[in-house]
Amino acid sequence: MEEQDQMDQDYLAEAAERARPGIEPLIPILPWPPRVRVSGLYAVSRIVTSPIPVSGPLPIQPIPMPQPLPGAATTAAGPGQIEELLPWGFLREELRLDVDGRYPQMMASGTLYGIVAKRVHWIARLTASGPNAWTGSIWFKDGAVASFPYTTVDITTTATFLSSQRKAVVRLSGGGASVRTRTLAFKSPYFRQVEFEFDCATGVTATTHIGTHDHPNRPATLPSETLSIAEVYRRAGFDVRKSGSDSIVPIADAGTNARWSDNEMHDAMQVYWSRFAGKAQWSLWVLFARLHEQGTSLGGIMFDDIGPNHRQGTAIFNESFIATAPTGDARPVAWVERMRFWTACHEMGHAFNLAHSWQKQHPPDWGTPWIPLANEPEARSFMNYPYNVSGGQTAFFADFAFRFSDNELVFMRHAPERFVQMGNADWFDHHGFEQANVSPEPALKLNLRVDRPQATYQFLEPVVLELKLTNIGSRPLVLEKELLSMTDHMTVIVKKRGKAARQYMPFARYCHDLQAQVVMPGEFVTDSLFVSVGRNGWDIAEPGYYTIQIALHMETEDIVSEALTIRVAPPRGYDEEFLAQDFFSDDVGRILNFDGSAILRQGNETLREVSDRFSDRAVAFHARVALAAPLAKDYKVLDMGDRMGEVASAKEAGGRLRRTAPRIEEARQLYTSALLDKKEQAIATLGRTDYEYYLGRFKESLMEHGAVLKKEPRDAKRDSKREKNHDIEHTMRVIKEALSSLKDQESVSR
Amino acid sequence: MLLHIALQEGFHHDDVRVLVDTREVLVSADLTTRRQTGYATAVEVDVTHTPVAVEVVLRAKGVAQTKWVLVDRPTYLGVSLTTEATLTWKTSYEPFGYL
Repeated sequence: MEEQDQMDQDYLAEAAERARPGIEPLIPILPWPPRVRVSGLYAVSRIVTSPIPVSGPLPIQPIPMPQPLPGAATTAAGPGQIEELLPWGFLREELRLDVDGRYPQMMASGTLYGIVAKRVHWIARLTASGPNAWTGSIWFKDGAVASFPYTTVDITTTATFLSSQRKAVVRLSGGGASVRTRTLAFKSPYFRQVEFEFDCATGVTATTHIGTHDHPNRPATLPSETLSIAEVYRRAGFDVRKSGSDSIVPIADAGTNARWSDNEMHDAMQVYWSRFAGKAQWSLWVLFARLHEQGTSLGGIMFDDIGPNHRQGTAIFNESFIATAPTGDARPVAWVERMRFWTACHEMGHAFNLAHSWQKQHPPDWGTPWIPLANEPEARSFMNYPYNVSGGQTAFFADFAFRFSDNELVFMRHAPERFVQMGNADWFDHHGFEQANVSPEPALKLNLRVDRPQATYQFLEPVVLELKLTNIGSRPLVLEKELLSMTDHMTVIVKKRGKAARQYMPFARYCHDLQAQVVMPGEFVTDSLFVSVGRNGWDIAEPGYYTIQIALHMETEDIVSEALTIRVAPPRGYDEEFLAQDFFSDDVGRILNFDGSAILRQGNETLREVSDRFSDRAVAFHARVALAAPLAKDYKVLDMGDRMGEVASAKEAGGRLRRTAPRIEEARQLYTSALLDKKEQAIATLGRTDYEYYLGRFKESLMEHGAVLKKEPRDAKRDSKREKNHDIEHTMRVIKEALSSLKDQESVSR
Repeated sequence: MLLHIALQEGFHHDDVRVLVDTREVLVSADLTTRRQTGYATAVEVDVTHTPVAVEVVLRAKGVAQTKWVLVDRPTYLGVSLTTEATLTWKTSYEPFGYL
């Protein structure tokens, strides 16, 4: 209701402006017939049923698609079109329609949250194609664009004064895909929501409002009004809320010199900002203070390029050069107030990731702009320096309408959320580590753990993490079955103490057939992650402390684990140090990662040396399972003959697949010493998940090579249940029985 | 007389030397512009004659340019590096302000 009221006020103000530009109207003159503003945010979110037969009723019920109003454009798919329905899971879709209201940009942008992290963002430029209808080409895509081939959008809105009845029908077409039609409900006249908190240092007053006619140097058409910072950003498309109560920040917090350094402000932000959190959020802290330690030459700064969440705090320095009106100015007091107000809006613009007007083009090593932008050195924008334009600040303010440029408005309204949201993409760089979009009430919890009491690893010992994803909500969730092994949905950060963080890049991405599973409240899914080495090389090798953290990117939010700190012990002696030179190689990394190779001979030799010389060390368990795997079964090798190593197609090189026979006895010995002899140590270093997996492979290999199990029919059901329950003891008994059966067969044949 | 030399836009981990009449007045091995203000660093020099030759050298980028500056009153010289690896010079008799 508040939004509707605000919209009505906007409408009246706009109508007044249109009727008598520059003159304050006594009675607003409304256009006739009255028109309904349709710009704003539209959304649809729904839960659809799972196709998986689940025992017992689930409280997930289908929510019907919104139906069109009588007389409104239809959502029914026409001939040759399909109404796309996702087979399962959650779906949320947003549309930001920007065709009327303040500074319309004739753009639409949409965000589609699909199954498991498939997030697509698109932007289209629109032209009117009829009453309440627009069409346009999609010129920007971000996210899982492969699943979004569309090139054209057509949008039709229902024009009704009842905002609850307002809808937009979005029809996406082109790109060789079937037409996709969706109906979205009107949510807000604003595109995004943001909250501001204004705090002041002791003895300083915040300038958050200004009389637009207080200074005589202004555009002749500028309406006279009391303009607030909040209103400036509302006109930019944000539903601005206030957070916290405005606090006084004691000047003592600025240190003994009473001037603020960036770190002091960052510290003050953590203490006084009611919303401070180490995460991305649509929330901003603004501090009004006297002076920065740089002195009077710094009027204000978005100081927060410190730590992992940038752009959350800005400051305005009331006693800097912005407090000195030009000599001879007609209204120096008003000039100063306007400059303080302008500076606040400018610095806050930086927190929305806006650069200066002349900084839109820059070298690639500064970071990549979200779209190629032209510099706007003459722009009458909050993001330009007034005294840098031709004619200086007098010329600037004579033509300044207290607004952002069109390019800036497109960015703030339509760029992907992570580029704009405070605390998300690093300042000036949308390619920085994407900060997590964490829900305040997550339904899932991701735990990282290791199968040992203390997370200390021997030198050379690979690190295998156990991942556990638990449904901590009150509803069943439908999750992708292989979710935790799909590393393309994860960001894994490994940081050695005192060194820069590195992103773990797995050697391979696995594509799984999409299969869903229902995880009931309290239930969990687990998997392992071999995190020591990837395409980046060995992320964990040298002795020292490492912190590991994982963000799992789900469809509408990110699930971020607690950070896990592990310690890698120093080498036990010279031998280990010496062997490390061969061990920390790409070959060995790949062999360990893929559980064996028949090709990487050098790496295999190193692992054999590890197995023989360091048989009492944890690394030997890893070496043995990796050496055993290719020996335990028929192994196919692509033989390129003399042209091995050349870049040539197998066909050109006359390549053929060569089969190498298993060396089952050798494999049996390696598996036995890795998995059976010292079970607890093996589980601790291989991790329970991988240990079970290797046991399974060992068992399969024995069965393939003639082991016979004596099993009563009544045992079959019980054993199957045990296997399903990952009963390690049971699998070990089966393996021992299989080994013994093979031994019996050997003695008979002799 | 005061000569304030401000290194402003465009510096990114640059090795920079500033000389006034061949005297080295500023050396920075790793100079980067703080982009939210357009300011990298500044140096103030007391000059006793006018004009003076201000030379800015970025050896790694092959940039070395000299500008003659009249300093008959307190003078503020802003130096920026363009994307084409050339220097732009801005002279003012008012202190620079950054926002």
